[in-house]
Amino acid sequence: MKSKKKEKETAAANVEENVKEDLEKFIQVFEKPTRIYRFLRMRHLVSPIFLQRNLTYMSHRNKRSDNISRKLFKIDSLLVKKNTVKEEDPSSLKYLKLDIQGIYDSQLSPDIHEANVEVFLTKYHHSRKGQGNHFKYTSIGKSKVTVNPNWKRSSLDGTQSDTENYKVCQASVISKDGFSFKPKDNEHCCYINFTVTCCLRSGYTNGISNGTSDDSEPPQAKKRQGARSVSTEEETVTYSAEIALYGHQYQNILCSGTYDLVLQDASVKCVRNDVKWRSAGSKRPLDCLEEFGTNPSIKFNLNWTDDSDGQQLCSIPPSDFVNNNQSLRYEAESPQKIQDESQCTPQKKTLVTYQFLYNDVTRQQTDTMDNMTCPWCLLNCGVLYSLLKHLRLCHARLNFIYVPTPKGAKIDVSINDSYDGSYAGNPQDLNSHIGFAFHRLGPVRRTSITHVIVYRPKRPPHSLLEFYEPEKENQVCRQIIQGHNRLYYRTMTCMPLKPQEINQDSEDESTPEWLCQKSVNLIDEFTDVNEGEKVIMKMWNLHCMKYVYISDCQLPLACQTFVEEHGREIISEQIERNFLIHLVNMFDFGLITPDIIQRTMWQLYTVKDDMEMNGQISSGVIKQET
Amino acid sequence: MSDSEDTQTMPVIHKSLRLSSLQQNEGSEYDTDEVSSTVSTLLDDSQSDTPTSALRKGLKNKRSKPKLKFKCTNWIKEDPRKPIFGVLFNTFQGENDPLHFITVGHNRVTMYECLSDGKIKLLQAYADPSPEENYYCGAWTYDDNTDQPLIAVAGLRGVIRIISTCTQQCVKHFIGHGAAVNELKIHPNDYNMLLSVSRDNTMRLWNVKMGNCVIIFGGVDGHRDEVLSADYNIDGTKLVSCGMDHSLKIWRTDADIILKAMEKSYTYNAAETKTPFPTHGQNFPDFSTRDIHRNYVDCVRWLGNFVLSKSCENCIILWKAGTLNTMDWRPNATTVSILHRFDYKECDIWYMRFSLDSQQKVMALGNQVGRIYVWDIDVDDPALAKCTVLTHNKCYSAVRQTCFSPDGDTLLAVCDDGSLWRWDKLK
Repeated sequence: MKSKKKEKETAAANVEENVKEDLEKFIQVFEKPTRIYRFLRMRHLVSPIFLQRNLTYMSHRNKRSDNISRKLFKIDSLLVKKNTVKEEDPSSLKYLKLDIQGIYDSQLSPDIHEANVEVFLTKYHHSRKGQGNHFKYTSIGKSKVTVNPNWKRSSLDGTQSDTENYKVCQASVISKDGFSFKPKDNEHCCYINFTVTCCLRSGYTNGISNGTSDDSEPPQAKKRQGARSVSTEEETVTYSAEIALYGHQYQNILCSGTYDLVLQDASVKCVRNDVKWRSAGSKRPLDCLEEFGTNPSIKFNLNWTDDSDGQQLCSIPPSDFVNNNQSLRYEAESPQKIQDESQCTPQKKTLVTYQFLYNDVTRQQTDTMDNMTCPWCLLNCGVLYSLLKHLRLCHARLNFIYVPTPKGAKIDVSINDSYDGSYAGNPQDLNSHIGFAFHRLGPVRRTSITHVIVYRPKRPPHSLLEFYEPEKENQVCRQIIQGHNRLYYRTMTCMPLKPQEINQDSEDESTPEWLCQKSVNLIDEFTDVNEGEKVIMKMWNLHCMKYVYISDCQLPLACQTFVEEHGREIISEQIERNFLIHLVNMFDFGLITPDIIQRTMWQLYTVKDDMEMNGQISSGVIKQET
Repeated sequence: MSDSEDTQTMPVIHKSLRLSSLQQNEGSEYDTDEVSSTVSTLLDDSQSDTPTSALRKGLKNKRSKPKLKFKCTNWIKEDPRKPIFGVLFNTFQGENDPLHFITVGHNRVTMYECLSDGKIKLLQAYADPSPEENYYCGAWTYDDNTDQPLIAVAGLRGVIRIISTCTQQCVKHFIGHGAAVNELKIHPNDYNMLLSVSRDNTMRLWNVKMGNCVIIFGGVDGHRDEVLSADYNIDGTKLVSCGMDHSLKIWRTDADIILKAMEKSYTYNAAETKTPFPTHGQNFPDFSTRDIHRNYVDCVRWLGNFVLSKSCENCIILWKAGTLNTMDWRPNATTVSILHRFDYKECDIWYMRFSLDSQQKVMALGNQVGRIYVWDIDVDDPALAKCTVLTHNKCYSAVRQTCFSPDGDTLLAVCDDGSLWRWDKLK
């Protein structure tokens, strides 16, 4: 028994050990690429080299929708557009007009038909001197609005409701103080606050509201009374809501349109006093919409008008007005658009599973994920094709193979053994001795060099088929820029060759200066040669070195050029005879023919005659010598 | 390629790490017990071999100057007990600034502060990423924009590294020498000019600020074997070099072509021109002699217009180019005149450096058994220079280099066993 128990224990221990070993192996295999890609992800966030949305396979990340207007856009039209805006008097005020269409609350009893709404504008001033923010609170109007207008009661309680009897009361509120939108006083932001007071006791208020709503006169004056009467009673519910009209420096000015705002119970001290639109892409999109269904909401039309009566709508929306009049432009994403996004139904979920292959056969699966987020760089690729393409192209240290499953997709991940991490670019870009690569503080980007490469391959239509198989060799190793990464050194100085110097030949064949100097020095050391001979020897040697005369047949030419260049020197140094001896010497060695001697000497005497004619030398001296 | 990869990466060993590995002896024991052994003895014999005996006679009655006395105040041992080849004080610091010095050896560069009461404080230590590196020499300079000190070090691999002690980084490196660098010198007038003396038979002058190789001294008439040492004279107009080819060469550095090259190195802009910096090759020294020494000449220093040089023949020779009577030597002259021989014992291995203090009044040299010879050369006749021998019973390995502090009161010596010795002058 004991032995069996022991066996079992040991077996269990073995299993545990195996698991541990397995885990270690897994980590050992996948740790390095994962760390590298985590680092690269951070770097890409901080200073991206490219934008994911510009990649062809990530086209859905590109959110520019109005391609038509881009195509039709002409550069000349820019000035016209701008001019029309500029011509407007910038001092003209804009007025905010709110048409409140109603309060929607499914939890209110159907008897309640009206609620009081007070609209405030809150301007927050950001003081710079650290005095804290102070804000101005102005009421721009109160009105009575219908609760649950056009609500199909029939669907709720089965009986034909009498709501149709009530006319829809549209309470409109217009701000009396216009908004100038001058760029100067933009140091504040503005919020619209709604306070909705709803009396739970029906009947009494009903009558009044009925009466008022029938009246076509502006509701403002009478409403106040009603509000007061309600507020004295305890059974009221107060809701509030807030929306930013515009932010600092007139960012994100609300556009004209219809808005739904979720109301919050004011008695509950709300923690979130900033009602913000959330990007639906970030979290669960359905929750956002559900709030509209369950919580009370207020619906209103927002318009910008040019006159304080609210009759004439603005010809230019203030958002454009501000954009055109301000030097700074902000990417204003209209709130409607965000709502649009949140409203769009999420796609059918594809479940993605990653299966890690290592140690030949061992596999380890991840939990199924329902989104197309790359696990290494947390990039939401949106579509399975994009995800796979991204994985293959951006995480080349790993192999990815796509296996479709009934539920979704399975991706086999293994280490790419043929990954070549070395620099495979143009050697001229290799700036390792100039840039900061191999820095001791960790990997650093090389000195960047920009190449514009136009490459228009035939793009096959996107198909998942290409991910069924491992990448082909020719696809992996395709290099756009051909080259190598060798570093060259100069022959003379042994200094490394800088990339901009690579076309400069450091090994020119011309005679180095030191060689001339050395030959002169050596000739000077001769003791059995007279000074005149030394001068001719130096002159001749340097001449031959300079023009690189290397063969016998070049000597006639050498003689000719020598006289051309040094003839005057020979005459003024009075060493014509030494030169003649030198020529005869060459004849003795069979290097030149006698006629070359004659021609060269004739050439020299012509030079001499010229000099005598010009009076540079006196002929007498020469005669004495000869 | 491999060079360029490593060069940027030079880790700093932090203070705390290194401190533990240092064997620190806080002097007191030696101050009291071993005074007898530390106090130097006068070397009376062997002030011989002076060709100017007539001069000595006339000045003999002036021997009244007291001999120099030094006391060993501290010694420490660096942990990898590898030979330390160089010790150098920072001479660019002000009078009230702390006294910094570096030691170089193995693949380490260590920076210390020399405190007043015989203490030595470890400040920084750098290690080369390559374990094969063995630093032979160093030099202090400073960045003329920020006035921050810079250390240039080089050694076996021939890569010259510029380390900024403020940022604690290797800020630059120069590749070009084909072999080890044996000595580094800063131009006395232009602190951006760094002279490196190499095993590849040449010397190079680098512009540290701009990163150019300005001049290469060497070639057809240059040294025919390793260059071991070189020195600029006090105004930077002459350069003397010596090497394994037993020769000593003097190069004029005030020639137009050299001054122009140095000037050009400041204005050259690599980004604008596609041509490399036109490094000037200086192939012809202005004076060359092989008559002084019969063996490797491993250290040379200017003493005014005279030259002090040593070989592994147990003597330092004071000589001048040309005859004794001529004030200036004629180019390409071959005559030399020897003024004096400073003799000492047990120093016949090569790569042992002597040093002069900044006033050029005291000269110090260590021998291979750990003794340090100090000559007071502030005398009218070199024959009258008194020699003091500094000994310590624990200092028994070869003293590679000595260095005087800028004020001349402290003498440092580094040994083959990785120990660093501090001797303070007794007043």
